[in-house]
Amino acid sequence: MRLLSLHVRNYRVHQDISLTFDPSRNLIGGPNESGKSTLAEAIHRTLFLRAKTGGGLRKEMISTHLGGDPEISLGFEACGHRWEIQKRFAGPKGSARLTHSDGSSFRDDEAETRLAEILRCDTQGGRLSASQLPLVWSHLWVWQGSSGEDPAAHARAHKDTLVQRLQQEGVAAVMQSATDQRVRERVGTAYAELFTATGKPKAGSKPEIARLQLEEAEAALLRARETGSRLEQAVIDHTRAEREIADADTALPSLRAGRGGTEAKLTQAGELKRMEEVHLRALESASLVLNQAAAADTKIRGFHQQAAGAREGLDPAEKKQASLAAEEQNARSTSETAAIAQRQSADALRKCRFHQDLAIAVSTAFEKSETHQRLAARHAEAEVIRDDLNILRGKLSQLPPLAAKELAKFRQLERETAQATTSLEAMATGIELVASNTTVTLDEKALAAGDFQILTDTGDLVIGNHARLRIRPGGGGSLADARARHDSARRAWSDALDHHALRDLDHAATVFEQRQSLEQQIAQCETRWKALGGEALAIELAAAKAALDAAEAEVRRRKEILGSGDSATPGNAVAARDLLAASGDNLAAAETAEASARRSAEHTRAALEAASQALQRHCDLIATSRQDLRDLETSIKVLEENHGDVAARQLSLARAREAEQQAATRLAASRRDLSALAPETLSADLDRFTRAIGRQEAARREAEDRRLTARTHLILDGSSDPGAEHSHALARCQAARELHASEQRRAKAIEKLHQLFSSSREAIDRSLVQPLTDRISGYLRCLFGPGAGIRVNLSEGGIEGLELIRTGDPAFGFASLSGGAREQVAAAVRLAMAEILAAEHDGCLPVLFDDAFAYTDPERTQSLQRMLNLAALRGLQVIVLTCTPNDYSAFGASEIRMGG
Amino acid sequence: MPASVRSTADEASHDPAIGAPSDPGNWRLREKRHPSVSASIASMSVTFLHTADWQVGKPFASVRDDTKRHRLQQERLHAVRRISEFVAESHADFVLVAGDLFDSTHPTKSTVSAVCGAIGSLKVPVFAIPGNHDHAGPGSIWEQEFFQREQRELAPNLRVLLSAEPLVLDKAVIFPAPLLRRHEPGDPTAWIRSAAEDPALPDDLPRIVLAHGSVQGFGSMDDDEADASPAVNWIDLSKLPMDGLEYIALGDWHGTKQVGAKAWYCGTPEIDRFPKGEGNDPGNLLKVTLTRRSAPQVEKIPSGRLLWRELAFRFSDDASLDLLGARLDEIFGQRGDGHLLLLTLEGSLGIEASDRLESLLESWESRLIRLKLDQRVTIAPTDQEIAELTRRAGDPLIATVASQLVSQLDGEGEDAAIARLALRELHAAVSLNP
Repeated sequence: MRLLSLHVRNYRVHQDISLTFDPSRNLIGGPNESGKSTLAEAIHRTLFLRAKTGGGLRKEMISTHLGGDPEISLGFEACGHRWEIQKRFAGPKGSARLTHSDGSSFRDDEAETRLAEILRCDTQGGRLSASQLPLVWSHLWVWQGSSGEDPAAHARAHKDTLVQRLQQEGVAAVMQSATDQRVRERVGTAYAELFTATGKPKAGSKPEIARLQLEEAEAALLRARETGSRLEQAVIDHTRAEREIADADTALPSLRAGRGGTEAKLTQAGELKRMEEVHLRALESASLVLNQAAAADTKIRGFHQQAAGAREGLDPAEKKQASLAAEEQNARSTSETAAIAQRQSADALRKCRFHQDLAIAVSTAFEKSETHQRLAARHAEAEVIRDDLNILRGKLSQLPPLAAKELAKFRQLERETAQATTSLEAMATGIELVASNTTVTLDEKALAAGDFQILTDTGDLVIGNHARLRIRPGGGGSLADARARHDSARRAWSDALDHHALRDLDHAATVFEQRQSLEQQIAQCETRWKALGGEALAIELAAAKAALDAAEAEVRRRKEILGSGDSATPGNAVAARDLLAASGDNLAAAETAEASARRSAEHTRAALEAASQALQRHCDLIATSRQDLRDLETSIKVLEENHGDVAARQLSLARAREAEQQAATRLAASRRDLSALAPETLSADLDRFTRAIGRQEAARREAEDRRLTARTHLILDGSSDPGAEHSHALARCQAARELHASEQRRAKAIEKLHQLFSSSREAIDRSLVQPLTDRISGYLRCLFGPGAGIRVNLSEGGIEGLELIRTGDPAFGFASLSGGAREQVAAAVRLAMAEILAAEHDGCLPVLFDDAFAYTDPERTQSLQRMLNLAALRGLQVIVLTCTPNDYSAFGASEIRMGG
Repeated sequence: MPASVRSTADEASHDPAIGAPSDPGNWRLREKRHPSVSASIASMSVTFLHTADWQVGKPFASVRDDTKRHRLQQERLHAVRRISEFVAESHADFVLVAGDLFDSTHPTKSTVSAVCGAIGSLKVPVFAIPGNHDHAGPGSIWEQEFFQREQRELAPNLRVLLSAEPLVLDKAVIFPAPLLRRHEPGDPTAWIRSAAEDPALPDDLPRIVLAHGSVQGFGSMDDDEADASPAVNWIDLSKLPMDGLEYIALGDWHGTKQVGAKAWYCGTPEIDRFPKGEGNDPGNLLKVTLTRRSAPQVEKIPSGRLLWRELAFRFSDDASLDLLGARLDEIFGQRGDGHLLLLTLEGSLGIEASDRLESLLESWESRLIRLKLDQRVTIAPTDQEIAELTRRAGDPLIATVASQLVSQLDGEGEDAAIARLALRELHAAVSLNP
């Protein structure tokens, strides 16, 4: 189908316009609002909208300023002929006429019908036409603004035709038949019954049920086997237990016999052991008897020997005792002589001492007497001086006690009093009554004429009866002060004198000189008195008197002691001293003699003591020896009373030896018997037998228990035969396994069939769309270069999606392409589809692009023209409407300019 | 000392398998109830029925259908009850059961009661030994109080021989070889080698060995016994003093089989498994007549009711499926009641044919008591089926998928199996009407 010419009248902006189409390439250029799109619409409506259509669609078409019904006449080629369709859109009065090139024509409805047949597309009319109309041939008619739409939708709309065309074109590609479809659906249904969407076995499906049944059957088989195993085990246990019981029964009698024998031997051994004890004790007592007898005998013999020895030793000891007694006696007499000599010398010494003491006492009495006389003389002198001193002191005490300092103070006070009197007199007022005929009184003392009064204090002068004058000397106050000071000084001065009872200052000075002289004399007397001994002298004198008295008393006492015989007493001190010297010599001689006698006495006394001790010791020794001997003799007597004499003892010793020998023999015999029984192994044997028997019996009991348990297991309730149950379970398991395998195989077969249908269908579809893909790719290579191509994704509904492939880039889905690329790819797809669909239209279809490349940049527009040219070369009639016709100068199209 | 039923009642009553000591004279009384025993004394010959391997209570666990399983279990009991008919017909003095009365050492009470009831209905003395299935080990059924009570009340004619000692009857001497454990490590009949020499035993009575186990070449047929050592429960017939014995009554091998001049396996009275090996002849009793120092007279009496069949079929093409259908119809008619079938299928079938095979098998599984299937058929789409799926110009998707699956079909691995299954699923999906 190819457009040839167009004549439009009263259509929107067009009053009357005619144009002729190039068979291949058409470019209709013009600015906006110049009516390009209106032409595209006019052609489309002429072909597909019924002429009698009214309503909004018709109103759109009517030119607002021109009036008249829109009329269009379109010449075209189709079905091998030229046609002209003329339509006048006048609502119900609208008309259509289709004229064949041979002159025949069709009118109105017939024309519309015929046109639809030629175009293989229903014409639109009625209510839905407004919405449906733009969709008709929309894959060929690229309306302004729709160039970027996904062309897959167009492909789906024309799927059947496309597929049909492609199928005719393809070599091996054949479309699936209705039978194909049906069988495929059956297989799909069978698959869906068996598998889930993800290819997993479906719950509730036959293979799954078979699998569950198999599992159940296997579990049942396992249970049946376990039951069988339990029975078999019970049989084994029973058999084993019986064998063990038999073993125990075999072993037990001999073990029990062994134990009995051992027990008997043990009893025998016990008896022998007791006998051994008895024999041992007998031997021990026999030995004891023998030993005692032997010991007594030995002891008695020993005692006899000892007694003999003791008797022999006693004689020389007694001799020695006598000599020691003589020695002691000698020593005693010597000692007594020495003691007498010592006493005599001591008496002599005492006498000498008495004489010595008297001489000393006499000498001392003389000395004391002299001392007393000297002190008495000095005491008399001191008494004279003390009498003088007392007279002086009496004189001094009669004078007032006046010191130098006080005298100076008197002088000071006398001066001050004189000064105060002077100052008072200086201030005093003299009043003198010269003459008066009236009485004048001063201070109530009447003044006679010529009386002169010194007034030192305030005084009232009364003259007559009427005049009273107050006179104030010194003007008042200072006179009073002077008077006060004067009074005070006089009072102090008189007080001081009164204190010492002095008359005046001269008196005081005289007293003071007297006192000084007396005090000097007293001091001299005191010095002399003190030089004589002062207060102590009297005491000293008393003491000397006392000492003298004592010495004289001593002399008297000594004399009394010595007696009247020796009463010659020296008359003076010298004689006394001589006596003293003579007695001293006597005393020294007596002392020497006494010391010698004393030493001699001590020596002899020591010798006596030593002799006495020696004698005593020896006496003790002899006494002890004698006592020992007596004891020994007593012991011998006692022992011999008990053990008899020598003969008797010999006899009993022999008997004891024989008894011991017999006991030893019996003991050896019983020990020999005992050792023959090996008693040390017997109790171990008994333990061993007892243990073994215990074990055997325990094992037997245990085996009996196990046998009982096994028997319990072996006795069934008889409700079922485990062997039969096992056979049934096995058979059921086998059947389930076979069913499962069969269902599995069938499921696999269905799965395989399903897979083959899917993959085969896909292969067919793919080969079906291959020509379309090739064509689109051809166009895309014009635009994007040699590496460009398209992937067409198929689905149940046809083409599902388009992906642009470019060298070096990942594939892009249509929706993700840029606006420019989208409209270019869409154009390529439209052209390819048109190319294929053109087969039904004498190999040609018009493809109209109304401003379809608004987003395409000028550079890409150049390659775009290559693509459009390829479409034209492949037989399509390309009509491009553009507001920039200069961009398409390289297209080489027949160009129509509008509005210019 | 051998136990003897001819001895005083007190002596015999000590055997726990006979009755409690409080029940003196029990055995003697029973003998009087069975006149056939005393009737044959004069001839000094004895007739008895030899049976074994009843295995009552066998679970048949592989049979999934409860009713059918119950039917199989009940048939074993019926077989025991039916023995009474043969006792009557053959005038047997007694019945010998050579082990495995029960399938297990712990049968249910109902099984015990049922077996005791069935034995009681036989009316003649029944002498039994424990076999490997119901051995007399610890806790065995024989010592359970419930069994002993039921035996006293329902089967007073039953005597379970638990001791390895000769039992002297009026007309025969029995040497029992009871199994006291599942796997007896030695020869359970070993004791008989010397015991038979005992001069105290009556010399005029035929002597019978009653044993359970395997002899050279024949032994336990239990699947679960496969791991047992061959020396276990092994009866060495060559060691037995055959000259002094008249008959060896054996149990364990489920087919009827003579294994020596005087030694027989009687087999199980009712078949309990699909027969293995050639010449296997189960489902019988043996009627034996003995006279001292004479060869035994043995007569086989068929007693089984259920038919255990085997069929192997190989599919050459899809059309041969119809042949199988025809063959099954031919064997079983329109009903399979009383039949069990082990069906081995081999060859290869197309998808559509294999679906039809499944329908066929479903029907027969329902009709037969048991259909045991050994399914070795490869389900491979035919060329035509492959073409139908892959050459679909109008359905490119199906064709593509089918082509990919077809390329994975070859091989024995799991992937190939899955691919085959997937192709079947695809075939089914395509075949469904829209």
